[in-house]
Amino acid sequence: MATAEIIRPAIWLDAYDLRRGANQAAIDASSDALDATCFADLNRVKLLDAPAVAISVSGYMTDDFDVGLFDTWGDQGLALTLAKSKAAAALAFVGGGTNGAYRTGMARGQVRTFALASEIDTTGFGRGRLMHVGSAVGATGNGAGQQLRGISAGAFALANLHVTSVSGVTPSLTVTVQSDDNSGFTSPTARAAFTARTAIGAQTIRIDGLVTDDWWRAIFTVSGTTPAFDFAVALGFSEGI
Amino acid sequence: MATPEIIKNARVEWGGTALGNVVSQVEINGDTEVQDATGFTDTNRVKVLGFNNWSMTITFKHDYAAAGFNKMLYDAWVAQAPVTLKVRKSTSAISTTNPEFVGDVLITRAPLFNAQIGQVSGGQITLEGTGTLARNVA
Repeated sequence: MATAEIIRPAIWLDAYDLRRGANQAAIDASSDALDATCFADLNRVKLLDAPAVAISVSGYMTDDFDVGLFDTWGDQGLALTLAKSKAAAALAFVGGGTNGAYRTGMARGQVRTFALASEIDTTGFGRGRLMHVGSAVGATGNGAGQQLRGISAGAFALANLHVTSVSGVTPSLTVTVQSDDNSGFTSPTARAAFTARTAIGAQTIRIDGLVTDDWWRAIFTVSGTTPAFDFAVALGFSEGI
Repeated sequence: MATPEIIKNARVEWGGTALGNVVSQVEINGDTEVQDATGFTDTNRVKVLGFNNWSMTITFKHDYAAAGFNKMLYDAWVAQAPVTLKVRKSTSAISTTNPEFVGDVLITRAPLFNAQIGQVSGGQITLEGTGTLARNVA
């Protein structure tokens, strides 16, 4: 028996955490239905083509991400992650997309609003999990391993890294997504090695199949003097999980 | 004489899996294309019926369990292939008073995720029929 849920999702666009202002989020997937009816048919027959994904997020604007929404306006290939909650292992939709508009509303006596409309671009889109969510992380560590799935030949996974806050003296964060065939990660393979981060930023890395490992985790190396990072790592599979 | 009834236990089956309480409303719509065939000697419009079109609209709440409806919806959209949908007004056996509507639908739009403050995650999806819509009584 299914359980209805009121969810409080986590939402990242590039280096910006939109959760503290968003109050609505949706992912709509679509395909075109092309007519393929012929004389032998009594009813219309159709075929599907051109799958597409649109993401909409709206809510209350904050100074934290106003600059982000404005600066990424007109960009594509932006790391986009929407998760069911802000916790490792939460269901997540992961992709790279556009920011096609900058929208904000201001009215006397009203809370300032924003609206984001994004289309997933050639980067791709997948369904997976949050691998790690770090808050004020100041030391090297490993995220928990998760048994997800392998990647078939011809399919792919997308790994997103969102670094939303950095402090300290010469701070540096290096994140890698690994896979293995066992929960102990006795012989891990690095599948996505993100560029070292010394400031806020984001990156998407595509992992092409064939990968037979089904255990995945994110590991991170932190250096600097009193460093502190807020970051999230998400992994989505084109074949879904 | 038949009497109107309140539907409490309609059965919706998606690709062989009964959706149970995921669905709260289902609608089946069929229409027929009309082609104009009026000619010079006609005093009234003359029309000819063409192909049938049909669709199903389901109102659902997302089930994010590992094998739940959210995953089924994603898998169907990724597969880009028709899904067989079966709908009847009661989980009782199919009969003349409990016919089952069966047909293949295309996922032209799939709300994969939604969230709104204080609202249950879910939505409505209209599925476009392809091929025959059957009404089975056995």
